[in-house]
Amino acid sequence: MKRSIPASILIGSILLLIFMLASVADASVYAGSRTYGRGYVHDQSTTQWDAVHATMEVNSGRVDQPDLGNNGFVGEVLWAANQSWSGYIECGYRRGWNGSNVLTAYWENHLPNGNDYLHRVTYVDIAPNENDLFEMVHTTGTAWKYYVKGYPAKDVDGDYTADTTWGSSCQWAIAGLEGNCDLGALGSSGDHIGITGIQVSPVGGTWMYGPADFSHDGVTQLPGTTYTTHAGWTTQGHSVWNYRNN
Amino acid sequence: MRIIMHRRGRLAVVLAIALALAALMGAATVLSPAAQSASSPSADQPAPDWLVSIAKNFVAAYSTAGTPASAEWVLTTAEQYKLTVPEDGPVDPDYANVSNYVVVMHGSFAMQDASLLSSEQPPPSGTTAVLAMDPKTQTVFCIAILTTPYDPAPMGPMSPLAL
Repeated sequence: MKRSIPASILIGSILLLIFMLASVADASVYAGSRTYGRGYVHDQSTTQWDAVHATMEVNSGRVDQPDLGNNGFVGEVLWAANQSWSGYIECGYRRGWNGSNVLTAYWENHLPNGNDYLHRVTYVDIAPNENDLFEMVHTTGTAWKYYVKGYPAKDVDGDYTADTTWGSSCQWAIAGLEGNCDLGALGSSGDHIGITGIQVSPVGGTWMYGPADFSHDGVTQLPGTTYTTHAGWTTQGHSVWNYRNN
Repeated sequence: MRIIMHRRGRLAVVLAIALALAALMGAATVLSPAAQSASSPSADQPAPDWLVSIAKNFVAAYSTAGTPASAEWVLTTAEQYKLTVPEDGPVDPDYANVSNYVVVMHGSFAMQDASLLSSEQPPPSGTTAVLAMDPKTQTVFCIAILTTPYDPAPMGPMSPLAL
């Protein structure tokens, strides 16, 4: 006697197969991923800003255990600060959030009193291979607002404002790759690389790019590095492309 | 073409329209951010398992002195939470009534997630950690590590959290 397969079992089997294929495809993405950042800071000033803007190429990144469980991350950052660095604001994207293997945008508000607030952006999605615009803009008084891809960088409390206390301008601007995880080629687990890329020094300074130019960057001091920096995307030297092959 | 309706028929149409409008208004209310408001848990209600798990993982990664001296939690609203951290900016009125779980711990913490300019620069550290969480996604959306005194009073009574 010929018996037909019930429709529910057939549909369930198809869905299971699709899920399994999607899982395999997802794993293959990470296996071949690289960790790099490429950004372009739009601002031309070498003095101070009431707004900073950077376009950054989003990479999927990769953070393995145990670093992931220890809140490791790798990503790219647009960073701005007062002259003494006691207060700073930043926004960007990262692989790794609070121990989860997610790719997310974020922003941070560090006040001169030492208090630090780190926010995940939950209202704007980002994806690998996008060239996304990140912005921090002074609004009124001491308040700065954050934007990702032109949208307010809101989280679940709907807020995307930092009260910096330093007012209407910042005197440092830096953008580039940052990681706090095992970066493999750097030779040891738990490596941290500071923000590497482009920066402008305090009032009256000049734009620089590349870790070799940075007195505050430890990357070039580590042995066995294959970490490299390339200028690109611009004729003005305000961009950088950092990468490391896994 | 003239549509002729009896009184009973008209009443049925009016009732149907009223029901449809009520359903639409109900759906809009449920779907709006403001509708995701906090409901006060009873005093003896235990913390959700996912919240305890997040708090424990946080302590393992961020605490620099083992188990915190104290830990408490509360289910509140974004507005009430933001009243406790005014220096981090105001709440967006559209999201004022959205539910937030908040965990407050006292001890010794370092912001391992902070961006630093070099490996020599120590991460921000403080004696109070505040985790704001989204009940919907059951994830942390804001981590605060504070050096200054923190007053959770605007969020109402907090419950002890065993870690």
